[in-house]
Amino acid sequence: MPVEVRGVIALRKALNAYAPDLAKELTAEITKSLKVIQKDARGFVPSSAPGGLYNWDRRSKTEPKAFNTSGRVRPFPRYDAAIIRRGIVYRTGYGKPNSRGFRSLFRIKNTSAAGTIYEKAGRLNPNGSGESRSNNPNAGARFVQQGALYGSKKSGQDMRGRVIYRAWAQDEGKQLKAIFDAIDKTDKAFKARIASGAVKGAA
Amino acid sequence: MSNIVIDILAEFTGKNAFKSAETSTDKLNKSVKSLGKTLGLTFSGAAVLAYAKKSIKAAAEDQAAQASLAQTLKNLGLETGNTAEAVNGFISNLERQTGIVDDELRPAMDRLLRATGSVSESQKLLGLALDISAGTGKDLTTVTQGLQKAFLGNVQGLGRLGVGLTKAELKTGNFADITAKLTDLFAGQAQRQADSFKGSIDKLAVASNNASEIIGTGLIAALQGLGKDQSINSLTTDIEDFATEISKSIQAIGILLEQLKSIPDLLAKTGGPIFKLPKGLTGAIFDLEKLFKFTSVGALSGIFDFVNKGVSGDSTAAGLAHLAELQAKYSASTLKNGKKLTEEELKQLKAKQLKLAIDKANLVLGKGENIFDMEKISLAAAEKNQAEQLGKITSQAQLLQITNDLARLEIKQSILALEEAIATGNVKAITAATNKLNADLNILGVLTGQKIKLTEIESILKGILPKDLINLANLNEAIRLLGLIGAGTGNTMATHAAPILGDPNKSPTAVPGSSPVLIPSIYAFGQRPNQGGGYDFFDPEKVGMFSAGSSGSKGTTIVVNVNAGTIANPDELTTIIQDAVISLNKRGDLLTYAGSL
Repeated sequence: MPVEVRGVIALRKALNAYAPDLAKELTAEITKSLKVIQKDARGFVPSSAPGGLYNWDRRSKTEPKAFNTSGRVRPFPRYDAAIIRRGIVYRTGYGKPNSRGFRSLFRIKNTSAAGTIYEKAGRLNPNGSGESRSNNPNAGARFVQQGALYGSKKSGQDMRGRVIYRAWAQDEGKQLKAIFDAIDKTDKAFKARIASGAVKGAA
Repeated sequence: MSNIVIDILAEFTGKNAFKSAETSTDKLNKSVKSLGKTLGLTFSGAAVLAYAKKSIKAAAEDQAAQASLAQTLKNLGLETGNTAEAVNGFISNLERQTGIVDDELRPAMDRLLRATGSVSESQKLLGLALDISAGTGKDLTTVTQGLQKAFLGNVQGLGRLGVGLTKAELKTGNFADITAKLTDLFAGQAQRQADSFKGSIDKLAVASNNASEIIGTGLIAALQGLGKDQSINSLTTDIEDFATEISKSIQAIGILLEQLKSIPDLLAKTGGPIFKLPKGLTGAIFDLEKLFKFTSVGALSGIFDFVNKGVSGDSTAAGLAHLAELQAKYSASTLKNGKKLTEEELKQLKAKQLKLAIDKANLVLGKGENIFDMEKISLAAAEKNQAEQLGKITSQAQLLQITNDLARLEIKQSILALEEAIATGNVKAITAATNKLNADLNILGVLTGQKIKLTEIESILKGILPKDLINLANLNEAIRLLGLIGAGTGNTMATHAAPILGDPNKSPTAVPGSSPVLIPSIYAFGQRPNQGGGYDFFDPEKVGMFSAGSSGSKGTTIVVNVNAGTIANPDELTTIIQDAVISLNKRGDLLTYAGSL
């Protein structure tokens, strides 16, 4: 018999079914916290490509969005701050379960290709890589020199980056606490409502 | 698309996760089950009806699709007598080779035929579409739509498929060039996929589906055969009649069993042979007879003729003996069933006990889940570390918080133990783990409720809290020691001299005592007391700071050498600092403040 863990998903389902107003309130509260991280992260995106990587920059809208297209599976994206900022998003819906059976409930994402490169370039090879087949094998070192990595690396989880990881690290858990508080508050309000008999059939 | 995500909260949903991760092997299993298991093992009742229904539906859809394709060929003027048959044969072969069902292939072919107006061109493009679909992972319908539009001049859809063509190539190249490049890029992809394990499974699934369609076609023909005039209207009427008779017969079987039970009592009451069967029993048998007649089981109908005509006097004894035998068999069967039921009940009871224990455990787990929060503990641990670094663990609240965290960690361990116990299905282990978790939860409840007496952890507090240096007792002790210094006599310090400030609440009235002070330690207004009880100005010569008689030596300049190590020149220093900063950045030890770039 599989163990059924009751938690936030169950609470949100119950709220949607029996107290939609509380569900909306909870989503709004969480969104507020996620927006703080999103705004901070967008603020960490430089308006032009970091120094020393000038050719990566897409200086005008007339320039192509990618280069080195020949012989590549996928063209290399140019640095465009507007696209990167637009790609930093938050989601409050349930994600798909991962291989270990966990579903993400709330998340911040850096979705653009250039944003991903700027986020984590140099994490693997901070001194560049001689074995790299890249056109610029020392890009890793150049990135690290121009923009430091923020956050921490734990076993199995590398949370170092320059945009969303940086915003998350510098927030120091304040928004996380706010999200927990919002969930606790809603949970209490819902239970109180059930106890008072205002919600029928939810017990 | 590469993607970077911070998962802020996640929840374990194991059951659903594993459901979602259902593999293609499971899908095949389902398909094969529907054919093999249904036909081979449980070829009866509702399963057969459900399978037959599904097969008929599949066959009907297949026939409709074939007809639609034939109509398209006819409309395009491509039908030359056997073109539809040839195209369907081509699709069947393709289906078997690639493992893609004809339900997908036929509409794709239909679409391409309408765009190109040529069977050979459509076959070529369908082959290309299969390669692209296998190479990109896009479904066949999307790829075919893209090719259809591209053939008609709209190449944008093809660009969106992500096939590796640049905008320039799409704009400048004609359709022939584009298809030539696509053929080069995706050559052999469909074959590769068909030869893979997944392809093999798909092929088997296709075979299973085809079997369903073939059976469905046969069933349609068989059902049409049941109708006398081969029309669907009479067939549906017959089906409804069949269903009505089945329903009546089921009711009749129930009545028959009930009446059989009452036969011994009836025999006892009448004390003789039965000449007339009860009305209900007759009706039931009549319904059964109708059913068997309907289904053309003629051999059995004779039995019902025998019953309806009544039982003759000669055969009464034999009939009674047969009834007695039936009753005995029924009793034995009932007893056997009773025993079976008891065993089943025992099994159910055990299962219920296990379920009860697991439910109880889940309830406690739910409680634990609410309390345990790794992030909160991490935050508390971080706070604790900061406090330790600053040496400021001074409040009982902090200590209580740390104790709470330890209790939470203990709960987490208990939860894991309980989950393991549940996985093993051992009731004793589950009960023990549940009790342990309950105990841990109680401890945490006491801690969070602050019902614990703080005096009980006084010893811990003593060990952690720093000594308070400034309090009244310490001040009084310091004043007493000062008094001892002031009351020293002769060459030794007075051991019981009166303090300068005997009473700390009173002001001193005079310089204390007539006893001489040999080594005064207290200075007043730049002077110090002499042995006569008066005060002298401070003379550096007396303490040997300067030698007497060396005039001018008092004005000697004092040089202080400070050893500051090696001082580099500014350029070198700048380089060293820059290197150090870069090195720190590489290691992740940041020097920049929040928001800087």
